[in-house]
Amino acid sequence: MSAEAIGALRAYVVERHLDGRADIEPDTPLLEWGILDSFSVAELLEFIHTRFGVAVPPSSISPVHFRTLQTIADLVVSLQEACRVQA
Amino acid sequence: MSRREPIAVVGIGCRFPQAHGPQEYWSLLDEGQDAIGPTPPYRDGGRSGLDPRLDRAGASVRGSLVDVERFDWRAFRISPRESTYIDPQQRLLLQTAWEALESAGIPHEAVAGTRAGVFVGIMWPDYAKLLAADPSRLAGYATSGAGFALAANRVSYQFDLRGPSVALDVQCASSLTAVHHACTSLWSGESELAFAGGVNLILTADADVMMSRAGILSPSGRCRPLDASADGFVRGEGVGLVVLKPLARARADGNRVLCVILGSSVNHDGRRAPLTTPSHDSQVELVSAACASAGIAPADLGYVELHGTGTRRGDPLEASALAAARGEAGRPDPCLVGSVKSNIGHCESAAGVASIVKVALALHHGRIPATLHHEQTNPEIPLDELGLRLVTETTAWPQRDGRPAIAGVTGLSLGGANAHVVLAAPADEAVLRAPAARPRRRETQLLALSARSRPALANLARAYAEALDERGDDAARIVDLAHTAALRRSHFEWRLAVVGARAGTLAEQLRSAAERLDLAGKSAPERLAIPAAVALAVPDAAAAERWAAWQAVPDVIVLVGDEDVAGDRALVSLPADARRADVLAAIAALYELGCAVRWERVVTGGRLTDAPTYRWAGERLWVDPAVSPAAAVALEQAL
Repeated sequence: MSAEAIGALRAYVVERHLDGRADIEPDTPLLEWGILDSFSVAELLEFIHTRFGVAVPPSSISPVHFRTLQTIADLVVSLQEACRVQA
Repeated sequence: MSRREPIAVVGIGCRFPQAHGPQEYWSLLDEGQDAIGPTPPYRDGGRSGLDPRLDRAGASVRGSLVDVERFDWRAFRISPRESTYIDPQQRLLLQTAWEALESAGIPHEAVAGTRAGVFVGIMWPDYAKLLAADPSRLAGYATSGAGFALAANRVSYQFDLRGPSVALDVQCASSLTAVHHACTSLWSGESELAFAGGVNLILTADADVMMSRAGILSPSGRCRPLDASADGFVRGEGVGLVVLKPLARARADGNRVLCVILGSSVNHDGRRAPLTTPSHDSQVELVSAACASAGIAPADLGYVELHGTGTRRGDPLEASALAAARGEAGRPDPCLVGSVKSNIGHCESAAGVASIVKVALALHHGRIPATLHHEQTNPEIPLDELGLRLVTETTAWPQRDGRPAIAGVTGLSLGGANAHVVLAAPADEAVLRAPAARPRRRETQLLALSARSRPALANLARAYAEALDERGDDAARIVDLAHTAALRRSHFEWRLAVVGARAGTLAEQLRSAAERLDLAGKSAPERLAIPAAVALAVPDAAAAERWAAWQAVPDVIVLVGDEDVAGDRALVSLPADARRADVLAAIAALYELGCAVRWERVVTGGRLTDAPTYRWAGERLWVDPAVSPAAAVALEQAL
């Protein structure tokens, strides 16, 4: 589940924010290494909404959740689970 | 610290026309070279439609920097997209601050979190104009990309510096004023270390047109300080930062002291002269005040680096004011004068730091470079009467009763604000220059290099190989390079370590490694990744215990024969009866795999030396109306 999410997120970040100039790993520190910043996180939220069908609540927009592809994927998966539980 | 404690210049980073770094800058000056060339096309994507070579008298030549469109985003961990919105002047300051720290032999960790101040001079908002030219580019990034404040703030952010962070626009006195305020901040104890300097880039035609119309540029295309045929100035680009520390602190920390700053002053002409006209009396007071703050008499100045733009009115006034400040006491001992603008042009907001760095290097090397383009002194400047002498060929520092050499640097601005800084050679220079105890035996050494990207590492390896080749097989030099690389640099993610006793062996290994890195670079895009876990296999329990308290820190230590305990960690093995070379090889392998190393236990002896600084792997990152980002990448790849 999260592996698929990681794959989609990785492709998005590499293409959209690195202009294809470098590749990243699931545990690459995205914020620390300047790959993502506050402006690009805003765009990323939109991508997550479109691609995964979940809206990230403001309380979850934190450096902890957006630290790496893995943590973002985990967040996405947990939000998707929460939606399913409610439905 | 008290007002008068000298401030040490412990490091320099700079880029001036045809010179990258203090060594190249010194060579340029020492060899009496002229770095002026044809003005390159404006970097504004053709916005002005003007050809600098044809259109305006005096703007067709310039001292230029190259490749300012390029930026090494991976070194600074700023995304390529954001980098595009950042004023190239800010980007140059980031690189120069980094190089200045390397010149000082100060790893990033040593200044991070400290009360280090940043004071930079800057005056042209050209990049903001380029961003504004297309509203779709006024993206959120541009709020932090284009303002002057960020020129200083971004340096503070990058290196985690928590002292004052100030960008100053004082036109052509900007960077010298920045040095003054940095010194004041150190003297008051507000800062414990300071970066001071400035930057000047000319991206659009606007200022060229204005200055040309004002008739202040030289139609003959040269700055001729104090010369009869002085006809205006030539513009120059540049960036420079000096790293400043109170002298006692610099000594305690084992920094290299290139020269010291004794005092400084700033003032404004007030209404003594029309706004854009210099004031004689104001300059007299300026120099007097600076000398008073330095605890010296103006007559003690042995050399003054003039503002010296090479204008018919400005030169005589500046010379006369200096003579007046020195007074009759100064007549018997002529003060040497000169101006670096003859070599590199007028770097405007970086002019002051260009002068400071020239004088700092001259004090460090013990000789004053020539001022160029002098044929006949301006008849309005009676040098002998004034007690001044223009340096027209390399000259030794004037000896004054065995006292250290003392120099002044002047910066003036069109708006009437002025600055003067007094520098000197360090008092116990002879002691400092004494060679350290040299190793008696030639031992195997470990040379550890790192960078934040693969191409930067490859280029650094090649630079070190060249540095090793330069001096022949000098054992002391090898130890110094090993010391500098290990203890006077930060260690980053891309790593390379070579072991050997001879310069040739080390250089060869470095070149092979660089080639391998280049080849790897061709097959796949670089991966930005944190290192994997590492295990070290040792021959016996005793070795395990020794190693654990020893030099390099793997994630786990296992015994040879029990390697499977290491799981899927990378494995390095130490042989039984390991000799020095084997131990170093194991440390090298662990280092390359990302382990922390206790360098002070590994590299003993040696001291800070001039070692290659970071080799920026820049990519073209520029707002360009003619080319879209995707097309820029394609262009980049095609080149």
